[in-house]
Amino acid sequence: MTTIWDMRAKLYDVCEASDFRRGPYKAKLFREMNGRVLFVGVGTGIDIKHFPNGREIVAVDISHEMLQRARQRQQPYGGNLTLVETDALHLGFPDESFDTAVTSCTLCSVIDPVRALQELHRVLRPAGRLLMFEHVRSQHPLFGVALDLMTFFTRRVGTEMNRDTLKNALRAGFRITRIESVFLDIILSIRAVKTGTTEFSRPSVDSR
Amino acid sequence: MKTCLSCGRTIKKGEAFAQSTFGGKIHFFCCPLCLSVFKAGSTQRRKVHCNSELAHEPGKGVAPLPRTVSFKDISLRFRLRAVFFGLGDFLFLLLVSVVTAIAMYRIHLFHWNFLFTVFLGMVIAMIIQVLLAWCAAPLLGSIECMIPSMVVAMVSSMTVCLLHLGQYLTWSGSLKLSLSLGAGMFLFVQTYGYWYNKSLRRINAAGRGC
Repeated sequence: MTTIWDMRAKLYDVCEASDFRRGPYKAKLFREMNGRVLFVGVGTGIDIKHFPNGREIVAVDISHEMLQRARQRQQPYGGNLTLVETDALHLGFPDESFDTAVTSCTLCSVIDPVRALQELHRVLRPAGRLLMFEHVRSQHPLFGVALDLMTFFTRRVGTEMNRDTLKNALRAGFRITRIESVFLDIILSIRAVKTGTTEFSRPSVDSR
Repeated sequence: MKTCLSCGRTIKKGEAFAQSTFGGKIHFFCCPLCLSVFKAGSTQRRKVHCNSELAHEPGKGVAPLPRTVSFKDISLRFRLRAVFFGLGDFLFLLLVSVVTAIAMYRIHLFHWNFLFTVFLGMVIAMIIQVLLAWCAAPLLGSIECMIPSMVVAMVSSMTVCLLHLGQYLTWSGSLKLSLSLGAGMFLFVQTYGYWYNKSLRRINAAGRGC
């Protein structure tokens, strides 16, 4: 089945060409990858160059086309990197099989972010770490409205700019341990840790 | 008894992740990793045993490499980058503010119906802002460009429009106004960023998290 992401694969690197500014922040966050790592939403592999060497990483994406492009960037990586085609909402990995889960501008694009975070909660071992490089809705009314306005257009290409990812992570059973600002309160580096319980036992319906 | 085609692991009834039919036989895969490794072909299949074993045993990770770059170096680099991008943001906001204000000013010179002029001016200002933001995105970042410039484009063009109601603005008047609005927006963004970082530092230092 061709997804919207397969169609976007050709232009993805051009549209997401913000790596020059955000790259060092991503590298700083990714240095905290430890143990067996699950990277959700690897896309065309634009983030692979920021992965620290020597890690054991399973990187997943829903799009076959995106992964085809990511394979070209997989080769130079100095560690054990495996690319897997799967959906963030149904990862299919055994429970508690990863030490660290990482997302990079992923939770703006999944259909149900709380469900995706619950899946990450499931596959992480107890006290496993979640590292997120995500953009969220600003608390400032002016910027918040601007992000809502942008979402009206970007939703058509699969991206929502105004999600409350911090709240969603809490609802999925994570405890936020550290937040770093990359750009205002819109782009954030978030560290969280898996706690015992989730707020919901089944997929949420309303999860903006 | 079913076994995974990639890793050879025994699969219990109902536990197969996927199945595939080829060569007249049905083959099973125990997890997405094994399926993906099989799909990827021979290059990855060499690593299949290692990967599949690790896939089912949690916590067998690779120890992190020793840190070779000091935090002091990183901090200095980050500060230099912040100055560079601050300058870039400042110039970009000035550019967007000036261009959108001048566009609105030019449209007002046609003396069309006021509401139509406002509507057309705003549409053109927004189109200009989006195009400029797209051009600057590879250097300054997409969201980093788009959000403040969207606000400044609206404010700048609307201010020119409103001032036209009370008095006739000159070209140089519009230019000065838009420059000051662009600079004002930059200061606002910096102040908000500073305030937000300060509040984050307080939260992080307290170790409370959320």
